[in-house]
Amino acid sequence: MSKYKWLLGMGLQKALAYRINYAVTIMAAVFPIALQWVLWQAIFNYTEADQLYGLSYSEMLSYVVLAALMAQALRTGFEYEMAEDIKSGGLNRFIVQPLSYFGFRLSVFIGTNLGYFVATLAVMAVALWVAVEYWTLSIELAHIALFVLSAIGAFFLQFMLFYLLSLTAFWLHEVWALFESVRVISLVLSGGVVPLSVFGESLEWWLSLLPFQYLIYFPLQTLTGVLSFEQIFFGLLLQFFWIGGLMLVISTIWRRGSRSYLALGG
Amino acid sequence: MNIALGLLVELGYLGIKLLYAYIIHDTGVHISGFAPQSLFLFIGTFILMTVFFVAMLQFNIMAFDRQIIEGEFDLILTKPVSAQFLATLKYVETWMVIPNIVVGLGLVGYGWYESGIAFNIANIGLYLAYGVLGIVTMYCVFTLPLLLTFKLHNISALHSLIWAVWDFNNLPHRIFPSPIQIIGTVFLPIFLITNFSPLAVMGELSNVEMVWGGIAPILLFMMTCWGWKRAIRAYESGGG
Repeated sequence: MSKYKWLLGMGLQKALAYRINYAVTIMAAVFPIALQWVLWQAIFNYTEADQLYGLSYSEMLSYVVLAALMAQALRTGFEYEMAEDIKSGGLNRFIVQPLSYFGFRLSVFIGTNLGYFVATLAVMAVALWVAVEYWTLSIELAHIALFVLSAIGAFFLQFMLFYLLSLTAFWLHEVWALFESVRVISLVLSGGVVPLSVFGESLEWWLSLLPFQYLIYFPLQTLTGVLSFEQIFFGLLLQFFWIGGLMLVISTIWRRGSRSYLALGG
Repeated sequence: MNIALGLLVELGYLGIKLLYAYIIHDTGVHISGFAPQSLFLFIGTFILMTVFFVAMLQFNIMAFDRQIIEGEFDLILTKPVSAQFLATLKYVETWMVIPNIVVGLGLVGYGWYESGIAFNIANIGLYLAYGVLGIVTMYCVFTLPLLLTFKLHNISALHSLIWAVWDFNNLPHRIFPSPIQIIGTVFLPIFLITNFSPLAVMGELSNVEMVWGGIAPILLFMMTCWGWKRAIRAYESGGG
């Protein structure tokens, strides 16, 4: 266990070394937020509607701000390192070392992203405070606690999704396009661009069958109190089901992929 | 397989752009006096400009810092062609942009027709002229930050910043407050890229804006070439 803790610490150190990079990345998130802000402001002003797609003006603004930040909190990048490990023989050292590759990647992912994740949650807390103070958004403490729980679930679900995706490197030579296409599609289907209610009720129902909404849409619905406590607990259960289910799929595909792995390199 | 996946990436980004078009259509919102049909002309132009961005710039930008860090740039310097041209426009992507061409042309055509803009040589010429100037501006806006690679080596975060600003072009710039409009038109002229050609054919550009839209890209291009020469002088080979 201590070796995984050490890896976690190493990841954290690496992340702290690039803190300016992170600050600039958070700054970059301001622009899509500003774009959506002015768009929804124009739409609500023009239509004079109380609610659009099931959300009031203050809920919509809060949603787009928090969703953009949540998308930043769930950033990955380890999938390229994994693909490189698979293609260039980097897995060789895990054959001879008493270290699980999954454990290694998970520890490094937590270490590298924990700082980003917590820092982004802190920025989200500020945004939430603004929403409560100035947009009269009402938030209950219990919803905040449940949101933190679902956000942690989203953090691990994101890891599972991209870990699974990285395993395609066992069979695919070029993985960049696959990774980027899944990243973009996942961003839309998770509600990272607009709330899923924009897609209409029937499509929203179909999307609820996929794991993506448990990354952003469900945690934010939990936070803004759109869901009842029963729905939240059921949602959390499904989120954990997806994490567990993906772990099983990962171990099956890993076994199959290992068979086709060529231990290249010295 | 790679072509199909490359297309999928662009379809994903295109989907996000079309989400804005869908919301505008669904809510019927008028932005700064522009009806949804006219707004499609802006979104279509942005999608067409994305064609040039993806085809000409994206992969060159992604490969640029690697060329400097790994010393591959030395080879470019020995070629009897402009190093700036080779280093910034070497890779050209064609397949990935097909969905953008189809959808962009469709939206521009629909927006043009529904906005009641006369389809004559003068208007087409005006639209294309500002379009070409927009492409020049786009080249400069994305190339200038690359010059920092000669000093800083890793400028990925700066690029994510510029790419995020680029998405401002999803909507007409007049939706933003005046200070942002001025910054985006004069200081970091990102709005010149996609806004001026639709505005020109709609007769919504003032005389000052028309002149600025013609001069700024030329000035910016001269500045980029000057900056490139200075950056080259400071270049130190990273290769063996």
